[in-house]
Parts: sequence; C-alpha cells; structure tokens
Amino acid sequence: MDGMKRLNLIIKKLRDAMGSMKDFDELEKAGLNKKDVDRMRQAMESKIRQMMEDAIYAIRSL
Amino acid sequence: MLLKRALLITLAAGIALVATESAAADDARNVNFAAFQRVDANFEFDPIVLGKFSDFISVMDGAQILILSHTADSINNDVINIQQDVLRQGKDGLGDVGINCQLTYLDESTPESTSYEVGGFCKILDVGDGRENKLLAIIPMTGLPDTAQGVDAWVMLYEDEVSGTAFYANVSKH
Repeated sequence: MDGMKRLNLIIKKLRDAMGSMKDFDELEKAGLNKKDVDRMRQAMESKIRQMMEDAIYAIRSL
Repeated sequence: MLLKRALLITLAAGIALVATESAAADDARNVNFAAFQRVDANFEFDPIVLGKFSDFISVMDGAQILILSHTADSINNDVINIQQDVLRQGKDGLGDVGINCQLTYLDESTPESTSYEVGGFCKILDVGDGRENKLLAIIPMTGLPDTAQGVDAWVMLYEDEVSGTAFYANVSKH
C-alpha cells in the first residue's frame, strides 16, 4: 500500500478513536458502573497508544 | 403486535429466571453477538428470538445480518471490541460505513446461580460522499440468556428504528 494512503488510514482511525473517549461519559449517564466504564476507557487508551505507535512508524517509513 | 411483544418480553424474563435458578457457575462462557439491518419494511425485530446460530439467522427473514461474532471463553470484566466497517476513498476523503462496538462483559456467577451481562456502546456509521450519519447506540447492562441452560435464546440489546439496525446477544458454553 502507498505510504501516504496507509498513514491517512491510520490517522482516520486514530482520530475516530480519540473522539470516542467522550462517549464513555454517556455510558455512565446510562447507568453503567464507573469502574466498568473506566476499564473500557483504559482499553480504548491502550488502542489509541498502539495506533499512535503505528502512525509514528508510518511517518518514519515515508 | 403489542401483545406479542409483551409475551416475548415475559418469556425473556422467564428464561433469565430459569437460568439463574437451575445452574451453578462452572466454566467460562462464549459471548455471541449479532447485528441485523431491516430490509423488509414490514419486518419487526422481536425482543427475544429462539434458535441456534443458523436457525436464528433464518428466522430473521426480513433483515440482513451485518455481524455475527463469537468471543470464546470470555471472563468477568472482559472488554470486547467488535468492528465491521469499510473505509472507502471518496471525493472528500476517507468515508466510513459499518459498525464499531465496545462492550464490557460481566460474569458475576456464583456457585449457586449464574449471571452474565453485557453493556457498552456501538457506533453505526454511514459517512462519506456527502453523508455524515453517526449514531451512538448506548447499550445498558443487559442480562444474557445462557444456551447451556437448554434454551437457545437471543435477547435484543438495542434497536434503532431509523437505520433499522438491531443488536442481539447470548452466552453459550460450547
């Protein structure tokens, strides 16, 4: 795959994932326990960190 | 139709009660999740549907299946990610069409009774070529039927009338 296309794709998914962080507040409003929502936040943060590493690797590979 | 739905909800509650009373916790369960989209305008999603995987899909004859997911050996506090979307290059950049879910799974079973729940959110995406539809479907914690109790039941977690999308789930042992 073309390097720029790959980078665009990673950044698109990264931006969507970062935007999801605010959605966890809605889960708490819907009655989910804070500790359960916090665990989901941690899982998403972990995914975001992984995608950031992927983005850095893709940038270095250009 | 309202009576039918009320009876099905009662049946769902009954199945959950039977599951709680008749079985003790033993092994990890598999979490099964399915998403459907209505294709027949007259088709209605029922709150509970009976049938193993193939029968379940056959019964939903007015809807197309979008996702069928089987997460094996799930344990308490698992965060389950289910994603099926397409990124497509359009005139305005990358579009995104599909479903992206993040669910938390709780298995609070004890030696005396079983309790399996799932909740979280799914994003139903239809973005690109001028469309900007993003629906955030919040799924409250919902008790799941356990097929290991002898009844192959699927419970509806969420329905979006506008997009015609519905999510179902259960847990199974094998």
